[in-house]
Amino acid sequence: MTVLTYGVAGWLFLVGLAGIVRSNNVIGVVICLGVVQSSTYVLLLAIGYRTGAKAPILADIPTGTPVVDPVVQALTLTDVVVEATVTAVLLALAVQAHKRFGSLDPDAMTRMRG
Amino acid sequence: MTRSARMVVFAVSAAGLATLMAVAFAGLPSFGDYSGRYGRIIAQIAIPDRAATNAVTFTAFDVRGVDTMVEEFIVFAAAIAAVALLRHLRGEPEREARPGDVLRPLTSPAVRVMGAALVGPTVVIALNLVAHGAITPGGGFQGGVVLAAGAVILVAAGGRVRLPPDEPPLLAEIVHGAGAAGFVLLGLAGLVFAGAFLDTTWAGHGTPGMLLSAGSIPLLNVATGLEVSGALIVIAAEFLEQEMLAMEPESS
Repeated sequence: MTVLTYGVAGWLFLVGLAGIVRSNNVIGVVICLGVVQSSTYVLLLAIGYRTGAKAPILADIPTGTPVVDPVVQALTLTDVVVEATVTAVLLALAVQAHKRFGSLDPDAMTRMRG
Repeated sequence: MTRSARMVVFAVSAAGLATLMAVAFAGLPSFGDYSGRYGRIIAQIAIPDRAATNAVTFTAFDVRGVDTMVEEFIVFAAAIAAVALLRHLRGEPEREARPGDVLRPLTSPAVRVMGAALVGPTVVIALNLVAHGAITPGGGFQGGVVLAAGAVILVAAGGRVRLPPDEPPLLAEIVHGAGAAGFVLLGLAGLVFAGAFLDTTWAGHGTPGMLLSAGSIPLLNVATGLEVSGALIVIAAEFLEQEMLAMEPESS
């Protein structure tokens, strides 16, 4: 069970990386980067999980009930925010790259211009 | 390097990385057994110390409030980066925008009716998420994103967009600047009234589960909601502008 759960995070990371390597479109690269980053959400949430524990919303549960770790959940929130901003900036770069090179293929973007 | 050669190099290094990850995962606590000390402490003190029933928001906005402030600045910087990157380039053909140029709606009436019907509920959900961030799941980041989604629905389904779309929307710029500044000011209020930057206790304790509880955490959530929604609307508007530059206008 342990291997499978953390394995999902590892698999997402590697499959996203493979997508980045073989992508022939920078939009695809940005989407694959999102897949890579989603592996960190899975890893963080999997680490914080406790069998039988409740969600860390303390409103409707008796005091002292075990809850899953709120620290890693807050970190995941940070992670999601960072991914959203990185995606926005990368897509803006993709727009400009398309204007410069007339193509979205990363292999076509190797020319330098003075 | 050709694509196939690149894949071979990648396959070799990915196999190495997978091995290292397997070793690393084997050293982690087994799934479902983790009991981090900080998580337990936070779950214990959230209600007695701060009257916050959402331990995640309590962590993000109180325990590591400075971290969240910087996170908010990341969103702020991303909006500025989008504006800077998507500006008009030198030598880029300027399309002459005539006053009164209007892009005809490309959407069907069904989409527009659906969009109009969805905007109201979306905004209500967004305000609900922001306001109850310290009580139930939600908070400034989540609510801000939903609020920006409301604006995007409005544009995506909406009627006419007037050209020229020359500058980022002023209101959204003001809102996201005010959100970022508001977070810092609330942090300074903690310094003045409670003795530590981003101390949230100065705004009172309140009854756990009530709207006005958890000190200044709800206020920080409002500031974050403003910042995130404004920044995302600025980013969306910049991309929309690029899209419209590529479009041929019909003169009305």
